[in-house]
Amino acid sequence: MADRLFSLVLMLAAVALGVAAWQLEVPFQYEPVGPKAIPLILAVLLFCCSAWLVIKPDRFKGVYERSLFGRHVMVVLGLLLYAWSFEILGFMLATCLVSTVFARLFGLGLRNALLYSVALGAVGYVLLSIVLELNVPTGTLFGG
Amino acid sequence: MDILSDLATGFAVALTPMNLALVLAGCFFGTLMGALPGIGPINGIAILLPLAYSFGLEPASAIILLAGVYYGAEYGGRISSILLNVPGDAGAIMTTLDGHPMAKRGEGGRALALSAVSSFAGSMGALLLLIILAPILTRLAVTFGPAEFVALMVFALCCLASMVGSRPVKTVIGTIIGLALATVGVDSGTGVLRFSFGLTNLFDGVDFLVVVIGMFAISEILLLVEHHYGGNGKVDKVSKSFVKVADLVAVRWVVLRSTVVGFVIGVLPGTGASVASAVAYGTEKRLAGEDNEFGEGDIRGLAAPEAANNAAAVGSMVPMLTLGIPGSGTTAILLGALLLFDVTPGPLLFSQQPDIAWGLIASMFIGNIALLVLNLPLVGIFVRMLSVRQAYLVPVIVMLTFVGIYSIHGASFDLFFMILLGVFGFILRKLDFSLAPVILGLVLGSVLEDNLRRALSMSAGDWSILFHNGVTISLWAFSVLVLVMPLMMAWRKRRRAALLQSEAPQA
Repeated sequence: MADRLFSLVLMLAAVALGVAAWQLEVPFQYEPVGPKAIPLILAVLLFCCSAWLVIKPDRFKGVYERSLFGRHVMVVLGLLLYAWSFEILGFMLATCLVSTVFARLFGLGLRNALLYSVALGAVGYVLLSIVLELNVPTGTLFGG
Repeated sequence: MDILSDLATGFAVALTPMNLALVLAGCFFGTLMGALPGIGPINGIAILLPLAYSFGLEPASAIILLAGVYYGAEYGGRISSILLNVPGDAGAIMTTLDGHPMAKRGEGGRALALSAVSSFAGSMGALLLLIILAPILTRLAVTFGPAEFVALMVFALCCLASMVGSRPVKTVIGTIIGLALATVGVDSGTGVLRFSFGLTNLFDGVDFLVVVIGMFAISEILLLVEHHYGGNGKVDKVSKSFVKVADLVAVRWVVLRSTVVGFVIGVLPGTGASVASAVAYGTEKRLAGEDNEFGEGDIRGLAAPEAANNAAAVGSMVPMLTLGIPGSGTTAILLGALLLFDVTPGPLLFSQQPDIAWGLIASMFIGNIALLVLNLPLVGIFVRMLSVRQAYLVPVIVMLTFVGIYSIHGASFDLFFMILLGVFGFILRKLDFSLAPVILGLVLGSVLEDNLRRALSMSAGDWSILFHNGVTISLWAFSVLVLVMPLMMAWRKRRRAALLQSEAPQA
C-alpha cells in the first residue's frame, strides 16, 4: 500500500516535471538538445518506472506504529525549531534549546539533558566559532 | 619507473606535516564513526564534508582527510560488528557472522586483531592493484570523446540498477530523482532557469552538500529514533589485541583471494563493500568444503569479508579517479567533494593535477599503516565508544550538520531545505530505496547532460554519434547485458523451479 501511494505521488511528480520541462522557452539556442530534452526523458522514465511499481509493489513486513509517528514528528519539529532559531537566537542558545529536546527524546533525564546541552552549546561555540573560525551566528536578537 | 616517480611525488604531498596530520585525524575520526553503530562511512563523510569545505583546505588536503575518514570507517565498522553484532553499515554485515561468535567465545581480542590485519592486507594489496591499473585506465580514457563518456555513464548507471538494492526499478527511480535534482538551476548551455520556483537560493542549482547531509545524516537521525540503540554499556571487556602467527598463516590465501575479489568488485560501478564482502565470504565458504565452522566463529569467515570490503573501498576509487565515475555511494560523495574544490576527476586528473591523484594514493598507504598501528593498541578506546548513549551522540550530530551546512552560504534556507530532503530521504529508505543512486545521479547528472549536448553539437543533432565506433557500441551492449542478465537468470531459475515442481508428482 505504502509503495503504491508513493508511486502515485511520483507519477504526479513525473507529469509535473514533464509539463514544466515542456514550457521551457529558449530565446536563442546554439545546440540541438536544449534544456528540455533531459528533463523530458527523465519525466517519461520516472512515469514508466513509477507505473511499474504501482502494478508490482513490494510487500512490507514491518508495521509503522503510531507512537513512532509521534516521535518522528517531534524530531522534525525539533530540527525545524533549530533551523528557525539558528539565526535569531544564535548558535549557542539555539543549540542549548534544541539539544535538550533531542537528549530528552533519546531517553536522557531532564536535569542531565539540560546540563549536557548547556555544555554542548558552550563547548561547541568555543570550538567551532573561536578555534575553527567557522561561520556561526551569534543571533540577530543580540545584534549579531 | 614512471609509476615510481609519480608515487614519489605523491609521498612528497602526503608527507607534508599538514597532510600527515589530516591523514591521522581522518583515520582516527573515521574509525570512531565506523565504530558507532548506525553511523558508517557514508554518514561519517557526509557529516564531515561541509566542515572540511568550510576550513578552506587545499583540494589535495581535503580529499586526503575525507578518504582517511572513508577507509578509517571501513576499519571501524568491524568493532561494533564483532563485539555487539551491530554492523555499522551494509559492508560490515558479513563480519558479524563469524566475528561475533568469536567474541562470544571470549576471543574478542583475537577477532579484532585478525580483522585489523586482514583489513590492512586487503587495503594494501588493493592499493598495489590501483597503482598498476589506474595509469592504464587513464591512458584508455584519454581517447574518449563525449559520445564515449555518455555510453560509459549509461553503463555505470545500468550496473547500478542491476546490483544495488533489492529492486532494480527502485534503483532506477532513485537515479532519476538524482538526475532530476541535477537539472535544477541555470542551464549551463542556454542560460535558461530550470525548476527553481523563483527561489534565488536555487538559481545556482541544488547544493550537493545540502542533499548529502539531508538525505544521509538527517534521515539517519529519524531512523535512529526507531532503532534507539541505547548503548547499554554491556560491552564485555576485550582482552589485549594480539595477532597469532598461526592465524595469519592459516588465512594467508583467504586474504589474498578476497583482496582480488574485493578489488575487482569495487572497481565495477554500482557495487561496493557490501557486495564484495558477501561474495568473498561465499567463495571462501564454498572452498572450505565440509571442514569448516563458518557462521560459528571460523577465522576464515572473519578474514575474508574484512579483506574484501577494504579492498573494495580502494577499488571503488579506480573508476572515480580515472573515469570520473564513482563506484559506490561513498565515492560519489568523494567525487562531489572533489567537484566542490574545483577538481574534475577523470582521465586528465593524473596528468594535470598529479599532486592530488598521487597525493591521495600515497596518503592511503600512510593511512593504512596508521590505522593498523592505531587499531591494535588503541582498540580499548574505540570499544569504549560503543557504550556512548545516543542521547549524547544525536545532539552532536545535529549540531555538526547544522553548522556544516550554515557555514557554506550563511543562509537559513539551506537548513530548511536540508530538513525537507532529510524527510524525503527517510521516506525513501523506509520504502527500501537505496540512497546511493540518488547521489550518483546528482553527481553524474550535469556531466552526462554536458557530454550528451557536446556529442550532439558535434554531429549537428544526429543521435547516431552515440553508436559511432566500437567502444561506444561495446559499452551500450554491456549496458543492455547488465540489465538483461539478472532478468534472464531469474527467469531461468523460475523455469527450473517450475520444471522440478511438475516432475515431482510424476516421480
